[in-house]
Amino acid sequence: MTAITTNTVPRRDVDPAAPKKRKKNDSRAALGFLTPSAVGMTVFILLPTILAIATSFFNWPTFGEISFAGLDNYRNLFAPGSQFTAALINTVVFTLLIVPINLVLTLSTAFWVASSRFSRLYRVLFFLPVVTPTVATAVIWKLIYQPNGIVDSTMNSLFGIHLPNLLGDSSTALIAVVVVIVWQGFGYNMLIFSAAIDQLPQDIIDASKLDGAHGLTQLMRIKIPLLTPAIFFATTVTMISAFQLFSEPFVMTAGGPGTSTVTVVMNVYQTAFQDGELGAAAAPAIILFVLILIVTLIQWIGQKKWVHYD
Amino acid sequence: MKLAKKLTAIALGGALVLGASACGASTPSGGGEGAAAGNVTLDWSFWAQGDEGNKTWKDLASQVTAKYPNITINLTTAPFADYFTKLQSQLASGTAPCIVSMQSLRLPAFAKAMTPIDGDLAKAAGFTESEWDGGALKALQNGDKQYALPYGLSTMLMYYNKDAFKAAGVDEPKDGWTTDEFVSAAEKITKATGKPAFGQTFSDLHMSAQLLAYNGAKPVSDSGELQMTDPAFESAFTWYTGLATDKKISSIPASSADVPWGEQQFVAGNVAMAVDGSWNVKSNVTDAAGFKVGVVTLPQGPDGAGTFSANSGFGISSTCKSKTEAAQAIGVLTDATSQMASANSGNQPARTAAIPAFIDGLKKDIDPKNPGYSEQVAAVTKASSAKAVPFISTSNWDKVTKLMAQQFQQAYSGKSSPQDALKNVQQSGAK
Amino acid sequence: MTSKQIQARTTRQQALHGAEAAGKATGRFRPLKLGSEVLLGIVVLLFLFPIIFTFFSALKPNGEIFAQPPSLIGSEIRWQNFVEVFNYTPFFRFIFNGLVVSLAGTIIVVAVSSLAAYSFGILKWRGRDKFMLLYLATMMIPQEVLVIPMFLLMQKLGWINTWQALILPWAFGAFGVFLLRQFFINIPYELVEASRVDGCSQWRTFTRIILPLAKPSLAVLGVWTFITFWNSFLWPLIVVNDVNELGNVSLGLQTFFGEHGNSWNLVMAASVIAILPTLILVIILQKHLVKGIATVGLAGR
Repeated sequence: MTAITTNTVPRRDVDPAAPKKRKKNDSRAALGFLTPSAVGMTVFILLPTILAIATSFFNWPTFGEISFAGLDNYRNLFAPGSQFTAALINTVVFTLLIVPINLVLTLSTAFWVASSRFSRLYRVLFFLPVVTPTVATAVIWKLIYQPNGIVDSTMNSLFGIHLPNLLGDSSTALIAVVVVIVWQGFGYNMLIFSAAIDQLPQDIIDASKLDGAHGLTQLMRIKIPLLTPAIFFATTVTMISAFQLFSEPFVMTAGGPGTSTVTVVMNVYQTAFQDGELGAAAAPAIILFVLILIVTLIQWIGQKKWVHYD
Repeated sequence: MKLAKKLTAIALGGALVLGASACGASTPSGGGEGAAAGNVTLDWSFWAQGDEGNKTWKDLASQVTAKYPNITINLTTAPFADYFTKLQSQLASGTAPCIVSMQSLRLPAFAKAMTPIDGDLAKAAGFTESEWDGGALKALQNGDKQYALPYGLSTMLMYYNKDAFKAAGVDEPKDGWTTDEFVSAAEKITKATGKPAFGQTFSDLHMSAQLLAYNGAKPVSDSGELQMTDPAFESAFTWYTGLATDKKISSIPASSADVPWGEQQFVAGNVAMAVDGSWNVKSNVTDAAGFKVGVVTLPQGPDGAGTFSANSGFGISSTCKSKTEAAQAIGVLTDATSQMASANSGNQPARTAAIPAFIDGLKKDIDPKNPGYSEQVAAVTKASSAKAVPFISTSNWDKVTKLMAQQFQQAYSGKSSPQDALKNVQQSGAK
Repeated sequence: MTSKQIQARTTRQQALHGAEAAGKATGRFRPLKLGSEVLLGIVVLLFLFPIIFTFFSALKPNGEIFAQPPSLIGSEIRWQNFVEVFNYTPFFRFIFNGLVVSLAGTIIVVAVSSLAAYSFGILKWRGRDKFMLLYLATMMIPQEVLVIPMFLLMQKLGWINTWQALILPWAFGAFGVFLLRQFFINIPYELVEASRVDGCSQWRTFTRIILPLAKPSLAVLGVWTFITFWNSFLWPLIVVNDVNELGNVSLGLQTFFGEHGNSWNLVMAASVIAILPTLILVIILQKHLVKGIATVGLAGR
């Protein structure tokens, strides 16, 4: 960040009046276009982030004495009685389930809907769960899941079998939450993929048709590669949000039964706002940050292999 | 590392400076500015009570100004569910309001950030101990110091579905009934209706009160230590889980997030009995899904010790600059007239003199559609209050309640033994 | 390629799309296609079931929300629940507040992000991708841990309980930049060069060439951002002192959970009401999202 922002560039260079020669280097213009975002980000994101990182090395109660703690907050995460290890494992499992399920379903549904006569209507309808308040969603899904609830009584009247208590049983609770999350977040990636499908360059599609590419071949060889920037975006964002999963399991299962649906950010939230330990809350967040960063880095480097930019 | 230290030092300095000035004249958002000038504006934060309730409290706030013209009260509200989350962040930044509303269960966690109302402050508030229900005061004490003056008192009671009892041919319970009578009534109703008669819960007060009534067990020692593995508590908890796992007369929460399960199932008409606080004495009838509601004391075991009480009141934050004025204001907010107003709208009062207003309110609003209710409430609150013990929590009580919901789910459903569940809560929750 | 050529290319594309759309409108009958339509209709209905259930729950008496077994319709149909929402809390005010904050936030996010994305997705400069990665990294710190430091900052700025505190702090995230960059990056650099050769400044290239091309992605970002602001909860809870004055719908929903029991039916009714503003926005922007080329690529199959 410093490398760019400390460059002092006269303002007029930002918006130069029709230069005669074009160079491959637009760094001055780039700086100009970047400035509003970079300034805002420095003040509102970077500054609090640095503060948050710093607090993780302190014993920092919401009220009372603040003292330097060194690595204690990190060490305590692995002390007996701490839920951090369980939370970290759950978070990784959640992410490994949510990301592929979400992407495969939303991408295929986006294509399916695009082929429909009612695509406009369907796109709006698939978006409805996104705009429904989580508190209402949680109530309804609990009624769907609970014993004698909608799924259970339907199964019972159709097949005469009773399901386990889906949210209260440690073997099914995590999967049950994953279903709700995929359902609720469906509209976001649908939106991305639908917009990307709309922007597919028609001349290339037409050319491929002339070359005899149709149906599945056309989809796999032409369309999907053209969509890879959108897919890369959706993967990255879905992954980051899955790693930061909190409110859905919080309202659906509160981390239970046992520790089977506890997540890292749930841990962060409760430590900060219920236990009032800001330092201890920052430590797991920093570990999570490093984890996400590593995974994103791998993706970022790996994208050259599969993401097709023009 | 060096940089981090430096930055933290800056931030820390900032926080302290801001914290110190928060209640001073420089920040308009703080409470109690310009104490020297005589005129003060005090911030008072409270959980939202709905439009009607908010109006009642705003009126009371203007009563303060009527009595002390130099004091203006600025009432701000947050939703009840999030009030304490917000208070945490206000305290973290030193912007806590002068007058804070406090629940007895949260007091141990927040006592450090509050000033006890004693000595001159008690005088300023016009506080006379004898006018109050002793239990109501005690619940808002920490280390023998009064941190808040209560506006209400709540005891834990057993609510029951009169129609379900009648349909199963079971006599309605009477105050002072025993756990054996409770179990046999539940068994009969379960048999008659085919679904569990009692609703179990994760709610701290609700569950603990029933265990206290069973054998006097308490989850927290009188000195504030978590004692989940105390033998008495273990045996009472084993009995409680057994209602679901062995006797099958109890409906268990569908997930750890369904903390108030029994209470909710009762109102929905799915179970015939549940423990709930006297704060719901009115709403449990108005919300009940088409059945008549009765209320009775908690069933007592041979060593039972009554019921738990809990309550809420108003205290002074330690960062408040105008503590005397705050105490004067609290005196008005909790005086006899104020409690009458609040009691009439369904809050069980902490001042003994306001009890008739409380019962009269019920007689007018509830009795027409749920006959005899106000009399029953008068009897049961009297009997319960006489034997009520203030519930003592730990300073990390939020964490403990979260752990209880997670671990007890396993125990209620028979996935783990009651002992293991208690051991896990104790291990993670003890400080 | 000059700007005229670009125009020619665009016109040709539009003509093609027109032809596609026309082909669809005549609706050649195909059994496979019909089967696919019916199946999709069933899938959509199943998908919407929880929403339908939410709507019917909003019409029930309070005590019946958790009745077992659940039934779609309660013992009575209480349309008055929707009225009571507004009597119980100043819900219109919450909607208004939410609209102000969400619209202002969305405008800032779209403006700032598109500027930055022009830099990251169109322009060429050294260290561009590394810098983008740095941006991305800021998305990886969970908001829950930034909230307290951010609160301290707001206090220092004297912004507690103000509109700007609700709008600005989360308007500079990397999300929008990343989203638009992924769309911009597929716009051929030759377009920029061509327009520059034609004498357009960078600014004109940005506003005249890039932004019109990027309309669908701007609409996507707009919708996404609006919803994020609309649904925000933790930050408004902390930075707003008076819910009735500055609270949004998410905070307003919490007021139905009271000290004296919860009004679940009102929560459901208020949730249904809360869906509407965002839904309307999606429907409005839908025109920009599809713009007459809804069935590109698959219709003529």
